[in-house]
Amino acid sequence: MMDEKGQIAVDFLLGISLFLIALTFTVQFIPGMFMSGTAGESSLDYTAYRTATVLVEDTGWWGNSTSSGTDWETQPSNMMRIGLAADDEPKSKLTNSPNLLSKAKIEQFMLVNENTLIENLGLYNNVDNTHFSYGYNISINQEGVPLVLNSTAIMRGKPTPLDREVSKITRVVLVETGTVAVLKGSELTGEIASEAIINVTGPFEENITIQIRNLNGANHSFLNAVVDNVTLTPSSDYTIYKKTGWTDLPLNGSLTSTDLICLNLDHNRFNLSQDYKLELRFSNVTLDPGPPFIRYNNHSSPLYEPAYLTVEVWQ
Amino acid sequence: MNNKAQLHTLEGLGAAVLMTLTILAITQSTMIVTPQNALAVDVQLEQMSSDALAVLDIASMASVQYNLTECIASWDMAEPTYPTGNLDNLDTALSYLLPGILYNVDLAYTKSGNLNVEKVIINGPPSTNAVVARRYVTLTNQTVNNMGGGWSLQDDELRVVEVRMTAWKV
Amino acid sequence: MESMRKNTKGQWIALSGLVISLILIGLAALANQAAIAGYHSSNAALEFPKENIRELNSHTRDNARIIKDLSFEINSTSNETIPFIFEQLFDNYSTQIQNLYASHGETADVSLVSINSTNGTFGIDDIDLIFVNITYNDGSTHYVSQPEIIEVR
Repeated sequence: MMDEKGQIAVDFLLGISLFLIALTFTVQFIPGMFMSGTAGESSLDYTAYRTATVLVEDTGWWGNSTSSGTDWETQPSNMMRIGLAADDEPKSKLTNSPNLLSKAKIEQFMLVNENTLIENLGLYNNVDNTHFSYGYNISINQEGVPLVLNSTAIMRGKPTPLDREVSKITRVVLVETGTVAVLKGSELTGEIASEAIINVTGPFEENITIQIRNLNGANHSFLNAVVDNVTLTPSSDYTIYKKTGWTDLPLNGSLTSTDLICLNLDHNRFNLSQDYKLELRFSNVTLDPGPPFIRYNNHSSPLYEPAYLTVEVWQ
Repeated sequence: MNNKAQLHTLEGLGAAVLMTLTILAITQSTMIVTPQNALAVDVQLEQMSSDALAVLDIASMASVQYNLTECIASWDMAEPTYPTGNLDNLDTALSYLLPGILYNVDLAYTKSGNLNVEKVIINGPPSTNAVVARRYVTLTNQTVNNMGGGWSLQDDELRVVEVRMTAWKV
Repeated sequence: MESMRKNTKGQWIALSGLVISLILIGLAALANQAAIAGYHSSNAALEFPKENIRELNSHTRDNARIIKDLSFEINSTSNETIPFIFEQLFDNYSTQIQNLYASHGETADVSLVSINSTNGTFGIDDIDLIFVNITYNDGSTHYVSQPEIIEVR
């Protein structure tokens, strides 16, 4: 205790330890301090926004030395841009319908090679001319689950990590999920007054929908559906419902003439390349006598259903 | 009693307090509040709102019972009384597309040179981060009559109606 | 206690605390700069009226078709010619659009340039293209499409 100099090392040690403990404490317990607001994450936001916009609003484009068009799904090797928006005039740059997604384009989108996709949608960070790919997840969801087209769930990329900051953008879209024929009650014809006959030429990739509006009758109702003299089983072969807003309500009891009756038929019932005779049996309905009968394929148009396209991007 | 050794300990403590206060001051101040996250939420909300109106506008008969033009055409021109709006088919269609989002809808149109703005769906006062999405529809006497609305247009008249949706997150 | 006041060697620890605090403030300011970069990219997405321009275009396209149908309907009960009725209806549409956009501080102008027909007559199947000039201005973005070609067949 006579020499006081020896003690300096000890209190210095204590002072510096206190300082270090305080520093670690603050860094540990205020996690946002050194993480949020870095330049990288803000560009992630923009990448997600841009990717979703390109997919939803652009039709895509293909081109070679002689020809070009928006139907890139038919020319995957000459593809120049990826886009999912439907276009009924593939040769023109002027037509496109944002928020309306084409089934053929989505199916081709699922087949595009991984590197091409990352390169084309710009899902990478460019640091000194070296590309670092972002992690991404692009999916089309309906009521919380990925949409299934042609037995493939529409989802690309990796599962979203939980331990990292993810930039996410969701778009409301209409997706082509199959075909539909919208028929008026007065257009339906049958051999028997209460039995509508509709000719259907297969095969189909997706379920087919028949929508009947303005079907007049008094206290009328739907009985059953028959394909080539075989009665179909409800719920496994077909579902029948009425459309209210965007949603489908179960159909029970009698119909009114303002109901939008929808009949969703399993495509496996029409899987051969041939003509099928579909009979829809009603009660208390008087239809015009036929032939001619309605042909489904002449009246069918793409069926669009609401869905959410989600793009998630992370480092 | 030798108390010389306590000196540097006190200074260490002082330094620690100084740094802790600095960090607290920085993190508590509004300066560090990352504005890009709040804005990214706005971008998402604005995009969703215009998407919902666009999707409802372009939807065909097979996708939805009534599309945007038909919903607007069916309006009976009566003022709604909060909390019940009076354009139920529009409300049903929008709330299906925008889960977790509240919105008010106003209709703006010009009638004999004057601008009219009418409320049709009221879900309460918008919060501070509300965004506005607009879509225009054109009504003719035929579309109005098909839907039984109360617009009473002439046969040779067309009326452009602005559908103005103010949307906010709950 | 006397020696406590005289010994000032330990003050460098307090001083280093001060220095580190200043460094932290600097770091926070830097982090904030990065946040502002994010602000700008998000703000650009918010400010650019992508949806408004798209909507003006698509609505004009839809409208040209509605006007075409309506002019043939009016024509069946009046003596006016199709191009005349079409022009009148389009002018009326243009005025309504101008007023509606003006009500929220934007300028939009749609004006008819010409009605084109395949063979010079104006039957319901002959009119195929409508040429329209569209301009839009919201104060920071100016958009012009002259002419916008609309297919109405």
